[in-house]
Amino acid sequence: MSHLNYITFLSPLAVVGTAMIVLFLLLLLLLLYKENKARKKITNELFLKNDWFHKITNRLGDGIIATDSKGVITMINTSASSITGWQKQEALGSHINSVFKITDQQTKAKLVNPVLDAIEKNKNIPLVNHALLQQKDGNCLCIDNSGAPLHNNKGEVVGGVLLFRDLTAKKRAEDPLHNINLKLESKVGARTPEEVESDIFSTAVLGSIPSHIAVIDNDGRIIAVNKSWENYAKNNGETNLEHGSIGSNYFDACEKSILLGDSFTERALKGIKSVFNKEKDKFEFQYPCHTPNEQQWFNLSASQFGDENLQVVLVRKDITDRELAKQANKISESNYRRLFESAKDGILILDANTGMIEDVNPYLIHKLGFSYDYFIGKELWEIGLFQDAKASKIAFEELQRKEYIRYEDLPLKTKEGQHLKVEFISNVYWADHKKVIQCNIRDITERVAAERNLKESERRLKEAQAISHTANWEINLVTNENNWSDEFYQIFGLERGDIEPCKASFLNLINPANRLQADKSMQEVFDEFKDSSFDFSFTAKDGSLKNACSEWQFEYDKNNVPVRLYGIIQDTTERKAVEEKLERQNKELKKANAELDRFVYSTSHDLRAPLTSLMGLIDIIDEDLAEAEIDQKERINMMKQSIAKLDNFIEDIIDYSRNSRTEIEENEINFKEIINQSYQSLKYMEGSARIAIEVVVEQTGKFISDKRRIQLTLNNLISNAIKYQDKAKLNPYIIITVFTDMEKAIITVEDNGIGIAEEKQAKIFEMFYRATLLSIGSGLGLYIASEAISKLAGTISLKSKQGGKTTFTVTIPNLLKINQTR
Amino acid sequence: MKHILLIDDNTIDNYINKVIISKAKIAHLITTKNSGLEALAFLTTLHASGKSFPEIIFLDLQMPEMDGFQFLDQYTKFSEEAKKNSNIYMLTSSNNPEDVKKAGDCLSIKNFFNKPLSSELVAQI
Repeated sequence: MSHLNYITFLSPLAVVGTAMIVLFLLLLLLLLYKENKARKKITNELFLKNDWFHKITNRLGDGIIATDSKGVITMINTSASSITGWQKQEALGSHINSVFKITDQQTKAKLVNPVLDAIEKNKNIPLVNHALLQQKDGNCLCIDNSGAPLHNNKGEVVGGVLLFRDLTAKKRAEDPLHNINLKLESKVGARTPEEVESDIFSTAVLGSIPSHIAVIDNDGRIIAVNKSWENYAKNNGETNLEHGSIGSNYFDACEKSILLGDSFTERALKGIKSVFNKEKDKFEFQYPCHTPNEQQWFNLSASQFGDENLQVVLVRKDITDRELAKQANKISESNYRRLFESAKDGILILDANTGMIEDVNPYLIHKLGFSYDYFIGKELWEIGLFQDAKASKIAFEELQRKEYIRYEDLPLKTKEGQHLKVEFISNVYWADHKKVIQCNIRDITERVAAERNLKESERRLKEAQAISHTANWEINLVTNENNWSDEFYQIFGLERGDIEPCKASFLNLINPANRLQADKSMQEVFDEFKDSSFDFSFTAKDGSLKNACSEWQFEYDKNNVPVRLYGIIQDTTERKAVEEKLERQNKELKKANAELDRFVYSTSHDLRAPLTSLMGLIDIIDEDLAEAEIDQKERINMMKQSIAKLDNFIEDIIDYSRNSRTEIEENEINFKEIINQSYQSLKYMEGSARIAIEVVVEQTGKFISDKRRIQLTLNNLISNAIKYQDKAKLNPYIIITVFTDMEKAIITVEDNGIGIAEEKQAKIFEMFYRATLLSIGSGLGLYIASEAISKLAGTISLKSKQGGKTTFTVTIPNLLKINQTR
Repeated sequence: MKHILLIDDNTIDNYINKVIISKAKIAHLITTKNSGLEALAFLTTLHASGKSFPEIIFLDLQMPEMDGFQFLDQYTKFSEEAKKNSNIYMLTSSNNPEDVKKAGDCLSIKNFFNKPLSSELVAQI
C-alpha cells in the first residue's frame, strides 16, 4: 500500500527515483533471500549433522550421557535411556548422580561418577569394569563405564560425556541397532538451542566415543568420520577396512585389498554393499586385525542411514579386550566345567531370578539316581530338599537377601528311596556378568552317623565313668591347659566351673594328710616323666571320708618329647570297703582252715585215745582172765566210761559240723519245753540226781529262732553245770532264767559249781580248750555253743569266780522283729 | 630195776600202762601223774630230798593246763646232775606230723612212741 502512494503523488523524476529505490529494494530483497537461502542451507547442514549425531549415537548400543560442567544432563541417547531406565524427558536437566548411580560389584561401595571425575580432572577416565548400575526401578545391572571431558572451541571444559555398556549376557545378545526406529527428536535438547553450539557439542561427543565412526555414501565415498576413525587411520595406514579420511573412497580401498587376497575385506565389503542394496537393514562382522606386535579384533557394523540419499554409517569397535576375555573365559570355563563334573559334592546351578535348576553336576545325578533332565527346570523343593514350595520360597528369599545360606542337615531322598542327610550351602555370585546361584550339596549321612556314634560312645564313656566312679583328666604339656571330665568334678561333689582345673586346685581337694605326699609324687612325675599312680583320701561334700587313686601316663611326640599327660581319678571308696571285707573274710577263712586242720588231728587223737584205752584194758583182761575175777567189774566199768566218752565226743563233733554248715531254721520257741527236754536228756548223767534245778521263764509273745541251736546251747550249759558241780558243796544248784520280748531273749544259766578261774575265762570258748583237770569234756562244748549263738546273731558271756558262782548269759535276737522290719 | 614215771591226763591209760609195765617186771616202782604240773611237783620234791629222778618217764603230749612240751620246758630247768640218769619217752596217740617233728627236735626226748604201749615195746627199753 505504501508503494502506490509514492507513484500517485510524486514527479516522474521522483518516479524514476522511486523505481530505482524499488529496484534497490528488490535487489536487497533478492540478496536477502539469497543470503537467507544460504543460511538455510547452512542450517540444514547443521541440522543434518545434528540428525546424524542422534542417529549415530542412538545406533551405537552404548549408553551415552552428556552433562554440562556442573553435571546436569544435557543429552541422553536411547541406549542410555533404556539401560538406566530413565526416560529422556525425565533425565534431561537432572543431575547425573541421580540418574547414574554406580557401586562396586564386589565391595558394594559407592563409586565416583566417571564423568564428574573427568570434568574435575579435565582428562579421560578409563574404562571401569564390573560396576553395578542401579536402575530407576531399583534393579542392578552390571556395566562398564568411562568418562571424558567436553571442551568448547576455546579449549575450556564445558561439560563431560559418560559412556557405558550393559555387560549382562542377555543385554549383549540383543541387537542395539534394533532400537533405531525410535523417532528422532527435532531438537537436540532444551539446553542446546544454538545450532553452532550444538554442532560443536555433537562433534565433541562423537569425538569422545572410542568406536570408529564413518558415514559413506552410495558410491563408497567417505563423507564423515569421527576423531577415533581419523586417528586410527592416521596411525595404521589407510588400507583395508580401516581405511579412510573424508573424501576418499572406501569401496576402492577395499577392492585393492581384496585383490591382494584379503578375504575378511571381501566378506565385509559384500556385507556393506548388501546394506546399500537394502537387502539387509544392518550388517555386522567381526574380524581379527593382528599386527606383528599385537593382536587386535574389530567389530564392524554397517547400517542404513539418511532418509533421502542412502548413506551407510560404519561403526568399528575395538573388541580385542572382549575377545581376549572370551579366550580366557574359555579356559576358566573348561576348568570350572572340569571341577563341576569331577566334584565329589553335588552341585546345582539355579537361575537367580526364577530359582529353577539350570544345571546339575554328574555326581548329584549319580548320587540321587535321577536323569539330568529330571532336574532341569525344577525348583529345589521339587527334588525334596525343602518340605514344600513355601519352605523353598523362604529359603530362596533368604538367599536373595543374604546371598548365602547354609543348612547343616537337610533330608534328601534318592530315586531308590534311600534317605540321605545332606549339608546344603548356597551362594549368589556374578559369573560372566550374570547373577548365578550355586548350591553345593554334600552327603553327610556317614558323617552324621559317625557323629551320632561318637556322641553315643561319649555318652557311654560318661555312663561308664559314673558307674565306675572314674574320671579322666589331661594336661597339655605344650599349652599347659588342664582338662577334667565331668565325672572328675562329680567325684569331689563339684560342678564344672566351681574351680579352675589345675594342680593347685587338685591338691586343695585332697586330704591335708595326703597333700604333701601327693605334691611330691606329682613333682616326681614331671621330673622323671614316670607313668605311675598314687592313692589319696578326700572329704566328700557330705563330710564322709573317701578314698581315691590317680593313675597317669605320658604321651610323647615323634621326637620322644612328652606332650600330654593324661590319667584317671577313681573313687575307690566302695572298692576299698569291698577289699577290706574280702580281706576280713579271707582272714576268717584262714582261721577256719587252721581250726579245721587242728580239728582233724585233735579229733583223730581224741577218737583214738579212748579206743586205745579200751584196747589196753581188753589186753589186760585177756592176759588176766585166769586170775581172780575181783577186779573184773571195775575194769568193765572203765570200758563203759571210755565208750561213753567216745560217744559224747562224736556227738559234739556232729553238733559242731552241723552248726557250721547248716542254715538257720526258723521255729517258734517255747523255752519251757526246750529246757524240759534238756533236763530229760541229762537226768541220767552222773551227778544230776544230786543237783537242784530251778527254771524261771518269762516269755511274752512269740519268739522265733532256731530251736535246735538253742537246744544245743542249753544242753551244753546245763550239762557243764552238772559235770562241774562242786561235790564239796551241800546244795549244788542250777538256776535257769529266760526273759523274752519282741526284740530278744535273755537266758541265764547259773550254778554254784567249781567255777572258772578268771585267767581261763578268755579261752573258755576256744576249740578244744579244757579249763579243768577233769577230763570229762571234749573241749568242744562251749566252743560249739558260742558258734551256734553267733550264728543266731546273739551273744554269749560268762561271769565266774574260781570256786564261786558261774553265770552264763545268752542273748538271742527275736527273728520275728527282724523279719517284720525287713 | 627201774623207777618209771607215767604222765598222762587219762587215768585209764595210766592204769593200763602201769599194768603192762609191772607185768614186764623191769620196774621196782611205778609212779603215775595225771598232769604235767603234778609231775613237775613230784620231780621237784624228789630233787629237794636229794633222790634221783625216775630212769624212765613216759610223757603224754596232749594234756589240759600243761601239755607235754610245756612240761619239757620246765623239766630242762632241772640240774644236769638230777636229769643225768633220766630218759623221757613221748607216748601219745597224736599223729600230727608237727608234733612228731617237734619231738624229734627236742634233745631231751629219747624216743617217740604211739599208744598203746605194749609189753614188747617195754622190753626194748
